[in-house]
Amino acid sequence: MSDPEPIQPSSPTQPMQRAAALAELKAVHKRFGATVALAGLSLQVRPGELLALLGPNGAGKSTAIALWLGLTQPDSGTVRLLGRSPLEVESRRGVGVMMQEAGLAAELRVRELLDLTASYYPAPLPLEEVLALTRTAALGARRYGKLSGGEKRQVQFALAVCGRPRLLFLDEPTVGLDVQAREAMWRTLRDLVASGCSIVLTTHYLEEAQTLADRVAVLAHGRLIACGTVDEIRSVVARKEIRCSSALDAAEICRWPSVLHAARNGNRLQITATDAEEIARRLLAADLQLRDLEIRHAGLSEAFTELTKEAA
Amino acid sequence: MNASRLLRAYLIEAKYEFVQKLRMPMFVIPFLLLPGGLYLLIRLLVLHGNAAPSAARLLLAGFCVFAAAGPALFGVGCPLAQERDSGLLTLKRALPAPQGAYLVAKTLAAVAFSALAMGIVLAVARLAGGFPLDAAQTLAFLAVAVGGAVPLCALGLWIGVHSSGAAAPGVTQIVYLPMLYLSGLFFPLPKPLQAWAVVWPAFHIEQLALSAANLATGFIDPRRSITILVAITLAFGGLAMRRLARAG
Repeated sequence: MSDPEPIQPSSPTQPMQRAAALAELKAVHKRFGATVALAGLSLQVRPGELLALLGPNGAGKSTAIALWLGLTQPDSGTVRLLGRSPLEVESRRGVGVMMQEAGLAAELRVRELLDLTASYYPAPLPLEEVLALTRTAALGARRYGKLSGGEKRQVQFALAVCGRPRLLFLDEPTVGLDVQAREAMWRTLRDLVASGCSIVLTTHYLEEAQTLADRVAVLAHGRLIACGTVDEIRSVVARKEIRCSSALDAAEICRWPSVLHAARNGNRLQITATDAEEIARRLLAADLQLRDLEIRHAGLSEAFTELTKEAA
Repeated sequence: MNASRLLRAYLIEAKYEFVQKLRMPMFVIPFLLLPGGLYLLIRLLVLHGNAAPSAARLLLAGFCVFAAAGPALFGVGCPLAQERDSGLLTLKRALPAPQGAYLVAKTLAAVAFSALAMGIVLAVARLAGGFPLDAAQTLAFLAVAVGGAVPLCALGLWIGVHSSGAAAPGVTQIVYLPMLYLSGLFFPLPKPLQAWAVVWPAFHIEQLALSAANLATGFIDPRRSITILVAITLAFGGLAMRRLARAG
C-alpha cells in the first residue's frame, strides 16, 4: 500500500516554506531491532513557527526528536539541525530542550541549575530574565528535589529557554501542570514564537496543539500522514458537525444517509455527518421551526482520530 | 564559544557536581567523615595512642588511601548509572555541554572529595598527637594519594557504565570492600594473600604514597606501581568511554 500523501500547507504558510529550514529530516529511516520507528520520514521546522508533532504512542515522534538532537543516528537519510549535523556541539548551541523524563540534580537549587545550564550557551539570557519569563522566580532558591511535579516541569521549561535558543524542542511540556501554569506556559510559548523562536512541540493534548500550533504534523507508524495548518488538518476529515434547535427525532435522523451520529441535548440536536450541507437542507425542509443552525468542521481531535485510524 | 566561556563551563559543571555531593548525606557520611572517625577510633581505642612510629605511619597511610578510595570509586560511576536511568544523561547529551565536561566534572569532584576525606584523616591524626609525618612528607603523601584516586575513578566509571543505577552501588561494593582488605591497608595480610595484593590499585597507591614520603616498604618498585595504575586508568577509562559513546 502506498503512503497517503501528506496535506501540503496552503498559501498562508508559503512564505515560511521558502525560508531555510532550521531543522530537517529527509527520507529518514530508523529501526530498533525488528521495530520500524521511522519509514522514510521527511519533515522540516521553519523559522518562527510552532510545529506540533502529533501521533499515537509509537508513531515515531520521540525518535524524530532524538534524531534532531543527535541522540541517535538514522539508518539512512539526512538529519540537519541549524544547517549542520546535530552531532556538532555548535548546532546544539542554538537549541533548547525539554524532555519528557529528566531527573535533574535534586540537591541543587533552581538558580544553580539555571546557572549550570546557561553556562553551556554562548549568550544565555540573564538569570533574572529567565525566572521572570518562565514565572519561576518564586522557585529560584528552592532545591529541585523539593519541588512538586508541576513545578519541576516549569523549571525544566526554564532550563530549555535559558540559552536564548533559536529552536526549542518541547516534549509533552504541560503534563502535570495545573490550568493556570499551563496557560502561563502557553503565553510564554506565544511570546517566544513572536520573538522569532521556532518550537517543536509534542503533545497528547490536542487542544494545546490546536491553540498554539502554526503547523501540525501527524505521524503514524513512522510516516508523515498529514502536515498542514490546524484548519487544513481539520478539513481533511470529511465529517462535519451540525447543531440546531429542533423538535425532530434524533433516532430518525440517525437513519438518514451520511449521518454518523445524532443525539439530543435538551432542545438542541447534535449531528455528525459526512454530507453536512445535504443534511442541513433536509433538516430545514423537515422542520420549519428549526433555529440556530450551525455547521462546523471536525475539531483537531476528531481529525486526528480519523487520520490515525485510516493509517492503522 | 570563546575559550574563557568554555573554561567557565567546565568549572561550573565541576563546582555544581561538588556542591551536589556535599549536600548528599549518603555520600558525605560514609566517604568524607567515616574514614577520619574510624581512624580516631582505632588510634585511641585499639592502639591507645602508643603505636611505634612505623606502625603509626602505616596505619595513617592505610587510612589515607581508604579515605581517597571511597569517593573515587563511588563518586563517578554510581551517579552516572543513576543519572542515565533518570534520563539526565540523555538530557546532557542533547544540551550543548562542552565535550567531556560531564565526566571531567565528576572526576574532579570525586578527586576533590578524596583529598578532603584524606585531609580530615590527616587533621584527626595531628589532633590525636604523635603525628608521624613532617610537612613535606604529608604533602608528598597527599599529592600521590590524590593522583592515585584517578585510576579508581576510571574503575568506578567502568562499573557504572555496565550497571543499572540500582545495581551500581552494590557492584562497586563488591570491588571496594575486598580491595580494602586484600590490599593490606590496615594490617599485614596472611602470607598466601600477600602476593595477590598487587592486583589491587589501592595497594599500589599506598606503596607509591609511602615511597613519595620516603617511607618505602620495599614491597614493589614504584615505577611498576605507576605503570600498573596508568594501565588501569587507560584500560578501564578507555573501555568505559567506548561503551558510553556506543550505548550512552
